[in-house]
Amino acid sequence: MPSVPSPLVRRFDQSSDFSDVAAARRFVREALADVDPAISADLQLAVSELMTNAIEHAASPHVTVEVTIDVGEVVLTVTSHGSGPLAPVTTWEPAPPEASAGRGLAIVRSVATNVTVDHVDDTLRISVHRAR
Amino acid sequence: MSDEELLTIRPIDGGAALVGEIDAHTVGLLTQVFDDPGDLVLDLSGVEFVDSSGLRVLIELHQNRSQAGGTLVLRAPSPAVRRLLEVSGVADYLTVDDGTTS
Repeated sequence: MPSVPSPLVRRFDQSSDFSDVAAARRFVREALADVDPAISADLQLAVSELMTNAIEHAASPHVTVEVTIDVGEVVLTVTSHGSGPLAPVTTWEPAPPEASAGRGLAIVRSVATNVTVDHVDDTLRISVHRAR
Repeated sequence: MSDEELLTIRPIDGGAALVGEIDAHTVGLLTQVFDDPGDLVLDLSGVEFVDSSGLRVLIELHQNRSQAGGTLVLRAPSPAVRRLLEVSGVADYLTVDDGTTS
């Protein structure tokens, strides 16, 4: 059995102007430099949506992004703190075409093989699994 | 890195070419520039990244123009734009011109 891969981790102390969203994408792109570019592009999209949501909804500016490259999958995990009860994770369904907002999480789900959400106390941890 | 480096907006005939990355941080540039509801062509061939923040503005621009009798045409969407339209399910709602003849 291969050893358990260790995640690449970066913590962002984000400002309210969303400038860390691009920095999070760069981190994911660099972490996935040796992975299929289509998978990397989709997970850059996912981290962009999750970071944007965290900045909009989380009370704490500290957001942690982790990337784990395993044999059969890549896992992107975004952890934020101080989010309201389920506020950021209520809208997983695709929005109708004419809706202008509310489709970020549906996009995350659609590029993922599987998504897990752990919401314990004030910590919201969303893991995006993508088969490779 | 400044906003201008992340996203540039270059005038073209009938609209503008967007080059760079469109996200919650840079999307404000678009809403500032395109407040006139007339016909608009956006060349998206140089868009390296776009997420739902950018899509929201494209949908609002489309709706503003439709209500005013105008159109928004998305020309030559890059792979990043195509992927976003695909995974968000709005590809058929917006007007896309593949740009192969232009």
